[in-house]
Amino acid sequence: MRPYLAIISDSFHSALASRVLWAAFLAIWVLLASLAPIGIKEDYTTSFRWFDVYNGTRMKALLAQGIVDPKSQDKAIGRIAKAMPEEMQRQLRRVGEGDEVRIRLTLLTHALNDLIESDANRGNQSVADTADADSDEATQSDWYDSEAWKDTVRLRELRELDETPDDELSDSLLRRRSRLRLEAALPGVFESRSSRSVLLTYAGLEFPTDFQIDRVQFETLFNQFVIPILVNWLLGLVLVFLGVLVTASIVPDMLQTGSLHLLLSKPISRSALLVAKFIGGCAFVLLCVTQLVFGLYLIAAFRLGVWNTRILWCIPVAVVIFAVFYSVSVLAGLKWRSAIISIAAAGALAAVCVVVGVIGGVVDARVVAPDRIVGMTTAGDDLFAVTGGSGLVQMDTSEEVWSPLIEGEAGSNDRVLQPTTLDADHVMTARIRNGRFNPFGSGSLDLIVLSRGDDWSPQPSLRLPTATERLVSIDRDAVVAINTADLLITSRDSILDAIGEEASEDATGEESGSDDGTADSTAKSVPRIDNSVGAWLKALVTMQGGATESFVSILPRDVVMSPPTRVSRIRGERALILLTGDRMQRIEPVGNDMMSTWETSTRANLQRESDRASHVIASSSRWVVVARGDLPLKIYDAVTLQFAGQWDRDAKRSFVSGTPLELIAISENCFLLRTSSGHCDVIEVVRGDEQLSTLVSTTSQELSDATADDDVQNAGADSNLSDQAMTIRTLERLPVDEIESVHWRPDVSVSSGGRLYVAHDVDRLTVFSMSVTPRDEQSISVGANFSDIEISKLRSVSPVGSVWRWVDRYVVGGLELFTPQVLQLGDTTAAMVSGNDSLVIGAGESGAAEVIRYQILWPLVSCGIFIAVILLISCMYFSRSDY
Amino acid sequence: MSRSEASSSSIISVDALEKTYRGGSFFRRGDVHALRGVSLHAERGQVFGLLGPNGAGKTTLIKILLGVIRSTGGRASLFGLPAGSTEARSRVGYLPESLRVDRHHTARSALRFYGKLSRLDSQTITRRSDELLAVVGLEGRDRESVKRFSKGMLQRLGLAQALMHDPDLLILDEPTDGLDPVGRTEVRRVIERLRDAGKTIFLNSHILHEVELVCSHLAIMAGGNVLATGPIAEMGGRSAAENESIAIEIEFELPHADGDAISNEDVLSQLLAPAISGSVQWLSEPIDLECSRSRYACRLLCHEQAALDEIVDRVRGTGGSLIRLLPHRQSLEETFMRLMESQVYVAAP
Repeated sequence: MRPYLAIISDSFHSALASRVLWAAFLAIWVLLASLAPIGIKEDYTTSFRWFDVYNGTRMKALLAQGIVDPKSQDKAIGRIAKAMPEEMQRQLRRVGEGDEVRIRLTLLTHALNDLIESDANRGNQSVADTADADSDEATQSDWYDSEAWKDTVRLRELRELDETPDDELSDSLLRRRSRLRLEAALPGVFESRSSRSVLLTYAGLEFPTDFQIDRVQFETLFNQFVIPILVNWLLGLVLVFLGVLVTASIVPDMLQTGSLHLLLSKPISRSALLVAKFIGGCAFVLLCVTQLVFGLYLIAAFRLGVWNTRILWCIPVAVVIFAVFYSVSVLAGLKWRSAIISIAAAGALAAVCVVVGVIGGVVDARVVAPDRIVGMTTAGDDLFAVTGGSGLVQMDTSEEVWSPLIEGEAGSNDRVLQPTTLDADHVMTARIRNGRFNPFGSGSLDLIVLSRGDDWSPQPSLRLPTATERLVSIDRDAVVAINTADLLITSRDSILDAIGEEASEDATGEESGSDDGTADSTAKSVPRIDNSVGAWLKALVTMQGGATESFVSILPRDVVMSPPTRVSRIRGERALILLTGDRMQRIEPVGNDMMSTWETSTRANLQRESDRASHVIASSSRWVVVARGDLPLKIYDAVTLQFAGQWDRDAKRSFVSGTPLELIAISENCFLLRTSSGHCDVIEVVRGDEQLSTLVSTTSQELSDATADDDVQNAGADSNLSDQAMTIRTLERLPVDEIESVHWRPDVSVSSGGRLYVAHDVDRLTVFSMSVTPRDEQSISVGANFSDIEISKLRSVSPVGSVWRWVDRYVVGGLELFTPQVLQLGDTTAAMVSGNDSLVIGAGESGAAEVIRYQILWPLVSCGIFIAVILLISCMYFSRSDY
Repeated sequence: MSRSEASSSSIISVDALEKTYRGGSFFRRGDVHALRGVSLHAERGQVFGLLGPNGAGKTTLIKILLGVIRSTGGRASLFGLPAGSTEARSRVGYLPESLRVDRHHTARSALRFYGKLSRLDSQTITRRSDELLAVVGLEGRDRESVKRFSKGMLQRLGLAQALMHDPDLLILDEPTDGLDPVGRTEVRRVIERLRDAGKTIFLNSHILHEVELVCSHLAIMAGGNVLATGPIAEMGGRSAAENESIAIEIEFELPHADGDAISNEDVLSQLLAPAISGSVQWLSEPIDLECSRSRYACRLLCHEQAALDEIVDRVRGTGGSLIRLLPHRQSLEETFMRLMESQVYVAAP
């Protein structure tokens, strides 16, 4: 071994003697020195940025109402609108009068920020007034009035700030209070933001930017984007290129006559000599990369407070990237004995990798992504699905193809709502033009109904509320449209009337799983809307996402929906679980009338936890299960919303990887959990071996939030909970990978079973039959299952793809197979640094979450195989050549 | 001595060795026959010179012995082991024709590196480095970068690295090539010291004088063939004059009057044959001197003075008179040039 270590060391020293290397070192040190002054400063989130606004149209409409509606002028929105600049007021008035006026979000947020400033100044002035009674009244702002804000729903943070005297509040807290007042006055407009934000500083000076995010977001951004980008570009491109430049001469130099013959005369193996030279070159790059990455790690730790040792994983990844190119450089050096040709060969490989990567990316975006099945529903035995290309397709089981009902297209900005079953003969959806990135889209938003009688051809039905993101069928008689700020209901009859069909009395419950069978007469009544208001106000209300002619709001008055919002229907009950912000509530209709405002029966505050991922919830008649990112999976009683237990992070991780994307209740205790890893598990709520009181005291103030909060209205404090904390057990993992979406169709004839439709591998379909048999509860011990489950595969369909899909699979796939997946190593880095194996983007209530599954192992394997093959060829060539 | 016996005791044994370089490229077609059945043997303790013009195949032969290239025919072995085997290479020290040491090395670090390649431990490397730096005259310059070394210093460093593991065989490929006279002298002195220390040295050179000065045995190569091989004394080298033997050219006249000339061969065989014993050798059988009816001439190598005396006595004893008795030396250069002139070059196809 000694000779080979000597060669490695010699190659390393040889590289160290290069001037290019020292230039690289200098560049690294200069870069680190220039990054070192970067720091962060944490302060309260006080000002609005344009990207804080989730529903700009609603804000415009609310402010316009504040100006033109006499009843609103003394209310909070009226006072805010009135305090806005004259020009802004003029434009808002035109909006209120029905004109199509475009107001840039930045102008609106600037105007709001001016209000915050003036309110904060007033607060400061009032403090100063205590010392100087002759203060200048002209500098004071008077848009805030406590009486006007009494009608708003104020968060606890605002209530506490309002109760605190101004002179006890810092300047930042005064601004924070002003912002919260504006948020309370404009409900459903802004995205939920953390109360504290971080600001980037450089040498103690704040960056002149509006970029302001909270600490968790900052860390996520840093770990998931900044570091991978740095690694990919700085390490993957610059350093690797430099490394190839410096090391390209190692092999040609070795092949020089006076050097090579002497080396070959020594009692060492030629192959080992070459491999040792290769390792020596890699060791040199290791030295450079280690300096840079370790420097970045220290800066991140000491200057940004991000102690993420996973950053150091970038070092081996960068060396692997280099090794790929260096292996080709070595082979070229052996063949042509020229450093320039070695560099050119490495460059050519880089070009090939980029070209193949771009081709793969384009084909994936234009061919594969539009075919992905992102959501499904059934009507009778017919299966419908939404595709990634915003199309609606129906499975033709005889031909084994997806037949398009609404044509999709690659790269479409349109958004098709997740199809919802109205009954066995009708399916609903909507196509929102340009709605992929804007919940409001453009143009009219009509509910589309597909009827069996019309051979499932799409027909426009009722006008949907603005910014509708999801449709939920309640029983078989009503449909709730969920938008950014409201829950709005309409009757099934209204929908069918709109397409000219009579409501049939024998419509069977499908997804709604209506098993009480009682059809409420009021549910069939014509939706109500206050006709006393003028047309302009109706238009404004519609703009705000409020009631339309067919849909009436059912959102309880004391509830404000602030995005992100999650709504879960409790199967078999007329109740919804609404999770908005950090608050979860169970809402139910008052009496039997579903068509009027509902009320909150129970409410619980969730613990504020730092995780970028959105909540995912599902509820059975017994439990509400809430999952969020990497956090423990929480279990609540479905009636009282009392915290009942959790599935510990570590226990969860040992079974389930990836970010939770979807939870579906399939029985009282059993749920399906789909994650970004592409798997789906059947999990069950069971009794844990831990006492609830112990769990609560050790985990958080979760239960105290749920029980001691003033707002909690626990209906039935006990239900059927014992002191034993509940937890989760995994029952079964579905035997398919790369799952795109799932649809559960309960069998109305068998209360404990149904069919599970699983779309996987882009557009393949597998149907399972599942039956859940409850056990005798008296005999269930701690940790034992409540139920037995049987899963059997009914059928599997591999739809015939287009020619382009064939090209993707065999041509592009072949190219990718024989090309080292260097570009994809960026994924590996991102996964290693962030600790997540996937990135979920846009997991809104619409359910259209885009999942980027990081390829962690395959790029490494691909690069490893490539390096091994090239080195093998090089060794064989070197061993068999005469020199 | 039979061939098999020679092989068993030979340090270097080459039999009918062939090497043909295949013409591979589009523009350079045609095979090149670098070695055409070369055979030679070098024994322990010999300083074996390999002499020949450029392109004779000397370096190819050395490359095969070191395992740098593979032969296409015949057999080559070192110490009875296949040439190029790891075991054989571990017993060989090699100084390439134009040694190239990476510029980041000093003399000492280079010796450490090559010592490790020869599987020496650190202690041995340090000890041997000190010894060899003194032997090659580089003590005191061992911490200097080789960038500052002259060609002669580099060659001496090359010699030191070749000796690091105390090899049984030292292969030196043009060790003085490109050196100035002072450098050549320095290197030659080192080789002489090694020779005196009993090392087996295989020296490849095209410099006749150098070979003549240091070698005990010689093979002359040209066109991929060995034209002659043997002790350098037989080749007319300097050592022929240095040892006890004496080559003489003798011409004498015998008293015959009958007029029938007796052939030179008959006279010599009858008159001198009894004297030709172990101490006298014919240097050249055919008498190439012009002889008259009563004058005869021949060349002899006498290993003892007494043998020379006996020859003179025998001529005088038959009544003959010595006309000429000259010590004769054919120079290595004469031998080399004669062989070169007799060599029929086979043009490469």
